[in-house]
Amino acid sequence: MTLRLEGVEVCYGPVHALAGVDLEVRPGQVVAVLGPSGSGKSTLLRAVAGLEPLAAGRIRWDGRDLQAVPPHRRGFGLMFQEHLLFGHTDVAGNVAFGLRVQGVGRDEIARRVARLLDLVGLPGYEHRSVTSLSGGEAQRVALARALAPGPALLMLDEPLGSLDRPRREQLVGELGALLRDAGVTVLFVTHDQDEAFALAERVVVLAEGRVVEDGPAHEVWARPRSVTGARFLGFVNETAGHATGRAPTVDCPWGSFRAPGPVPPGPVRVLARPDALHLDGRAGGGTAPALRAEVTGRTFRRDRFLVQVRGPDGPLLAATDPDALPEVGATVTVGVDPDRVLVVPAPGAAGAPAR
Amino acid sequence: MLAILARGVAPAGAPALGELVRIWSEPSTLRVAGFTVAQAVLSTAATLAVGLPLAHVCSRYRFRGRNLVWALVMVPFVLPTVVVGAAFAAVLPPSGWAPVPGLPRVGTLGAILAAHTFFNVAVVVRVVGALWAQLDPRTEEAAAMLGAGRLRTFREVTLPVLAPAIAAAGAITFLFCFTSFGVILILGGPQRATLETEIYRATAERLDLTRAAALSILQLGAVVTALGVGGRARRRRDLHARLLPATDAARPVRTGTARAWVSGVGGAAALTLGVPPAVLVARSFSGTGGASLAGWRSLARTDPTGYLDDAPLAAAWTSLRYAAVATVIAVAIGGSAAVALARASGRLARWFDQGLMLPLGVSAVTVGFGFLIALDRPPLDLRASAAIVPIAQATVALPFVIRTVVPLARTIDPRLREVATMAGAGPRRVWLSVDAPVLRRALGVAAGFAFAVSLGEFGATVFIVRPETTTLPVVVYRLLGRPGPAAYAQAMAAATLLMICVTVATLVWERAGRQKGGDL
Repeated sequence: MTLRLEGVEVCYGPVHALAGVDLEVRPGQVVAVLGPSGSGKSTLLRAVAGLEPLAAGRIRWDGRDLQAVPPHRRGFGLMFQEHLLFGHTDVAGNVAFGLRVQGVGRDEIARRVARLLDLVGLPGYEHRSVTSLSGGEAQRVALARALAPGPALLMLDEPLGSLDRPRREQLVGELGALLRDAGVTVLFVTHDQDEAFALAERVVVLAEGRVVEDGPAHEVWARPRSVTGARFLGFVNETAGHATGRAPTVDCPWGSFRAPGPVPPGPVRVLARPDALHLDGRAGGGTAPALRAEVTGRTFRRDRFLVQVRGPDGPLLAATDPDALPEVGATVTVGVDPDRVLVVPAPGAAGAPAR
Repeated sequence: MLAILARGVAPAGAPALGELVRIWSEPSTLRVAGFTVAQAVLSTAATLAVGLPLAHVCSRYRFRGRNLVWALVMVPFVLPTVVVGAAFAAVLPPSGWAPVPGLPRVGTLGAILAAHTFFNVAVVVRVVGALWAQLDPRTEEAAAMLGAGRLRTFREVTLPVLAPAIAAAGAITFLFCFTSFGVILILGGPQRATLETEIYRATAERLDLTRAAALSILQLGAVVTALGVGGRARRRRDLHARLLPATDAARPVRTGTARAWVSGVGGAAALTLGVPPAVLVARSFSGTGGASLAGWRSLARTDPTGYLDDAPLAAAWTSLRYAAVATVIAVAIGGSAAVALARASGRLARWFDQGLMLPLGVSAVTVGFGFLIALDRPPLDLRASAAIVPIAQATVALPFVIRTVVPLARTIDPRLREVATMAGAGPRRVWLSVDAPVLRRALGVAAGFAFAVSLGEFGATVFIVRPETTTLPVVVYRLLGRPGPAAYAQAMAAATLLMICVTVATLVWERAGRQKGGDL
């Protein structure tokens, strides 16, 4: 029961929302599709669901082409970002919908609805009106409704997208446990990195309708293979360089250092997250390159203070200790940690990933 | 209205409820009432059956010509009933152009149903379509993802949400069919009497005002009941459905099934809505020996036989002037009432809302009859005055104005007024910059609607019109009743002329309104 996408294309008029996607989801996997808005994430789910006709390519389930199978016969579940609960019926009516379609008997439906509401943490909510639910409750009801028919593949579109941050962080943990307990194969899309890496064992990064990263979550996080993927995953400092030799040495405006992994010789892009750049003291470590630079600004992102400095070919963001935040205008030494720098072949160069 | 009640209860100045009850319980009255209800129910069912697929196509898909279909579907609705009657008389057997076997004959129930459906499809398409166009299509997709097929999704997910709109459209259609006058007079023949035509005959032919009043009261009661049901359904419309801007909910036609459905329904609609007017136009060029302009030429001439008091072209001019005056009156009264209503809320406002709907459901014939007996003695004796016609037409057009303006005026976001105030605008300036632009558009739309309705108004006008100031719809009706091919061609030409005037007015107003014409 493997889902396989082969060169899937979906067009909206002249726009390619999906421009040749290859993807495989194996039974029991929880796969996150991560990407900025407009990258084609939702379209990917809609294509698998059968809600968008394919312009090219194939979607197979268990080896069988799904082209001629209408959405309601595919046996997949899809939880929409907006939940889309049926307003004319109550919570139980929503959760029971798929079971009634399957012709399950009334008593059995009531039993299963109660069990599902227990599972999502809303016991006794059967007769609540869906308009009285909070965002988080609506999200859980939508999840229970999607789980009820026992889909072979459960797809979630921005499952926690409509919730505020604290609520989200709480639910990420619960949702992860819940999906594991339910034991279903899950394909979900999100623009939120925390959500993707917290829930999924495998992460796919989508950009402009193409897969740019695909691998185990921790590998994709640590070592993206593409410039586009790296940029999206927080490698905000970037410069051009050149790799030479067998155990390649990289020359770039930040300095010269040995590449952290194998890179074919030729033009490369050098990328680093802010935490790969250190201010002052720790720059003295042997071969590590260091730059003298002027502080042009200070900012806060995610959970730390960042310092913006004037780099050799553009601004750089470096992480810093909040107790040692330099003043704007001060000159500091920026050390680059070569082990945490990403070196990838420049797009278009020999050995660069196809896209 | 009160005058009718008084006349009915006290025909000779003394209360005579017994007389009322006697008329109501006559077998002939019961038969007429029974037929009135039956034809209205059947017409409503037929209109829904034809209108719902068209509403689906017009609201759910984006395709070339959608706006045109949306506008054209409105044309039959504003066509004067006499024109609709004439057009169907021109299509259906025995005398009509009828290439299709199995069409109902003039004088049968089938002919009435066909004309009513043609006439009221717009109500269903507009009222149901307006809601349907805003339903998030992904709700249906959510049902599909839970395993529900198309039919089940429609029945269990879409229908419950649309039900109030369908009920409201059905109630309006029922009212129009219940009080339909011109269509039944022309297509039903003498055997097919409804309350409406009976009121007219009792008044105009038998001068039995007591009977007319009794029937009017009966009709009024039925209408009020139907309005109550419809009003309740409409209030339930603030349902818990996900609504989107209409432009976001429509999907392009992308699959083969969808293409077949859209072109099939669209084609069938174009055919059924297009053929009767087309035949009408073709018939207007018929002469004794083939194609001829005789019908059109005769429009400008005064009738030598004296059958008509005036040349039809003069009547057309009169119609336009009356309609213009009626429009001004209807927009002035209806516009201010609507603005007040839009700001008001609560039970009283709702009652008032319903009260202003009453003329929409109350038959035009009753309005005409009411005018006739209410304004016939000092201080207000308008019967001899030409002003009575536009005033009556304005009364008929009033509810349309209100139903058009209220929803648009309610779309004004009160926060915009606050924004303008915070930007330093005084109350006058706020009104000018926030309310006025919306209202100007709403009133423009309403004026177009009122003009079209007044222009084609027949039921009230035929009661009170003076011989020297006949209007075009009355001329068409009189010509239709006259034997001979020349008169027939002339009738068709006059009907065509009327149709053109109304269609132009409608399309102009549609352009101005751009699909935002409120409830109807």
